[in-house]
Amino acid sequence: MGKQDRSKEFESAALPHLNDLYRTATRLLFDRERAEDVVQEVYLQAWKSFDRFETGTNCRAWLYRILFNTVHHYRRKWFSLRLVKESEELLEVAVAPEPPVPESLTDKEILAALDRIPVDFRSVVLLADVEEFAYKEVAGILSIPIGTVMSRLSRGRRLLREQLVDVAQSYGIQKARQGGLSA
Amino acid sequence: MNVVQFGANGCEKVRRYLDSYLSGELLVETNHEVLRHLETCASCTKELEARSRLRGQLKQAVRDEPAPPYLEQKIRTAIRGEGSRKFSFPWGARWALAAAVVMVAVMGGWFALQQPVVLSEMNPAAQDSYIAKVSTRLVGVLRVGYGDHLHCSVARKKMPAPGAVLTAEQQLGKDYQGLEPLVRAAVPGEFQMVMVHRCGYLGRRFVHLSLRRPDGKLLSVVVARKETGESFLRDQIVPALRASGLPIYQQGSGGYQVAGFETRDHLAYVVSDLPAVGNLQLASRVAPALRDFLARLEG
Repeated sequence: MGKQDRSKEFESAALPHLNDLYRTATRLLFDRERAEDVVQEVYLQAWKSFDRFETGTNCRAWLYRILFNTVHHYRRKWFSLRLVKESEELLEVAVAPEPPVPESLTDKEILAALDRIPVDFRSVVLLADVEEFAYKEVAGILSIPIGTVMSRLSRGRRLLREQLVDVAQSYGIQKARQGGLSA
Repeated sequence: MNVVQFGANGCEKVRRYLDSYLSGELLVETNHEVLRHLETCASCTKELEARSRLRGQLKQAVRDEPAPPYLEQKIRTAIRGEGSRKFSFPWGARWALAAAVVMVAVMGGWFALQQPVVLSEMNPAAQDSYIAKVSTRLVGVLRVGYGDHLHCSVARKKMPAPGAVLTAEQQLGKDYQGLEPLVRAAVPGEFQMVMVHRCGYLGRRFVHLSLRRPDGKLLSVVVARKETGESFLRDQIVPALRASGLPIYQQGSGGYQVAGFETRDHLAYVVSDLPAVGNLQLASRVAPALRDFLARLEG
């Protein structure tokens, strides 16, 4: 197969996932320009190793795996964040009863709550609940055991619900202030 | 995941499984236990509905961030080697990325397990288990019509080749024989009726009309009699739209969309592999006439 045919094959297999990768990168990096750079890099790396990609297998999961590897390097370089232990420590937090999640939430409130969750938990929630990967696929993408996927998901979903209650309350107070009411 | 038995006061345990239930990730046995609990527990049913709604909102909020329109062209240009110099990663460390990608390629065997699902090529037990798994993503009563479409039209392909149109109205029985002209009139002409029959799935009987578009898209109109207590109202889901005042509910799973509505004694569905909007449009064309037909039948 010629290089041109091969690049067409790559484009038709990989480019349909561009929006998915971009929105995930945006939620991991909080920055559209950086997300754009990362997604470009993901495609370039994927194209370079496309010869080793088996046609008919899950291209989307493969691209996501490259995305998370790329983001991991990026974050380590630029944010100098603590990348390990964060999740495990949070898992130790005692389980308390949850207040109910407010019903009428705006997209802005939901994203604000999601962005507050530590990245390890945000990653699994994004992959399983937004991008609808099976737990097993999430484990493959992040190179972690499926048991870890499940415990992070459980904690991540709970953190999201807790953050939503907080965010909705603080937004509610802001709205009330803007409306001239005492908060 | 382990099989879990929920005893009395199992709410707390069930709630731990609600999200995995929504994701279709529970073992059949655990799934069954959750379902059994939900049948009698209004409070957990309400919690399930709240989590399902939150998940829908989360999906919508995150997905509402499309890539900038120029990005695709930029990537195409880079791939074709016309602008790769402009394409340098801003923070260097390319060698580390390359190493990461090599590792991904080496571990590619894992992805080979994730073959796209071709239902019709599975054995019957695997088909049923797959349908049960993808069905769990749907709210209760939508699973009924969804399951029949996947089982009858997709998995078992109980369908003749295109062109061999069956117009045997008698196959539907006296009560339902008027359904075929009604559905034909409601859907666009490009859909060809390929099967009209009664069928059964999971111990339940269906009136099933199946249509196919020239591009291979499959559409089912499925009607079932309600079983005790079944209702969209009970499942507390929000209608996707109203057609002539009739609430139509829709969800998608496993690449298929199922839209449903109810009359006093019947549940009716439009199921297809069309995009969500397309399926809903078709449902809104079929539903008002179908509701009137079923209401006449119910007297």
